[in-house]
Amino acid sequence: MGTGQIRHWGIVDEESEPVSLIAAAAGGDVRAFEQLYARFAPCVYGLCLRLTSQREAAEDCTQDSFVAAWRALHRFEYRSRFSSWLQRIAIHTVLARRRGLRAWNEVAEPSTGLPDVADPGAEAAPLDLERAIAALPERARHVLVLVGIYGFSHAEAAATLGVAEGTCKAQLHRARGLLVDALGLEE
Amino acid sequence: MDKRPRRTLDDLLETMPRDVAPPRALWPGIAHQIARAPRRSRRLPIAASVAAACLAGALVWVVLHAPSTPPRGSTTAHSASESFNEPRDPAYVAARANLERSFRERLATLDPRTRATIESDLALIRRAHEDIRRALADEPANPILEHLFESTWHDEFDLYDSVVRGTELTTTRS
Repeated sequence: MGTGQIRHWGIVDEESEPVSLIAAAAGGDVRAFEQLYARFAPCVYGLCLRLTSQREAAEDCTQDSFVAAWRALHRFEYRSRFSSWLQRIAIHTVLARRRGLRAWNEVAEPSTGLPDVADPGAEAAPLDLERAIAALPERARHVLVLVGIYGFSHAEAAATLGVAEGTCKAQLHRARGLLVDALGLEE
Repeated sequence: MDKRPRRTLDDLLETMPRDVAPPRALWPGIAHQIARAPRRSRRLPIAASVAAACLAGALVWVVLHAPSTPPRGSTTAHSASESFNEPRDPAYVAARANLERSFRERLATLDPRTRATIESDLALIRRAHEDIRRALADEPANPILEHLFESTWHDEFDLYDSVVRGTELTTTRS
């Protein structure tokens, strides 16, 4: 699909969606892809950081996500926003990494103790909340991050995480309860 | 006494920034990986080896057991590469075209019923491949879809290989 056609249909404009850069990168232009990275890295890293609750893991996943995006870019069909497409790649990358680490028995669950979340964005959000989220059990954390923070529907989160929608709702309920208790909040 | 209004969890979640800048530059690592493993290169060696194996078999068969009648299928067959979103490397495209030509030539020597079965199988593989390609556009990097996509891609080559090798055996025995 050409970029002119996309603009003609009014699906996106260059301001909100860098169609020209996406098309150039899909055609093999590494500099264009670097500009896409500069623009979308915070969106991908933020999601990876919340999902993994570990800075180094989030950095690795962000790198792997952009490499995967580069390889899959020729299949991007503009049916969703580019940022949403990247975020789905990031989620699959985090989940695949987690499965790989479990298979090799390399790491323990990062669900206890304070996580390493010293990042610039933490200034705007209460650090206690970031830490409390990071301390959640992994599956509950994944659902809370996708549904509670990034606005996925239960159906989308369930499909992405490979669980039933009911499981997704139960995990969100569990996560919220744990956070309310941990932070002394009102429901 | 704390006079601050009590905040709810939703209030707090609402204030969390969605975007967080990476604490260090990650682009150099990404650029390095992209340069080291260019797009689509992963499949090419496999394709080339499969194609080479099939073509080698086909060449031996053609030299030792040239058919008495000219191949008919090659004039009516449509190109296998039309409906697939696969590597566009010239070497790969040429290898694939040669492989499919050999396959079509062998297919034309088979009886109509066998030929119809093989054509039906091939159509099924291509339909599955296209369905998965569409799904991958919506779910990029989904490992299950990636695996299925590659599987169907290999299935087509396996089918070509089976036909080429199968007709080689038949011809050798006759």
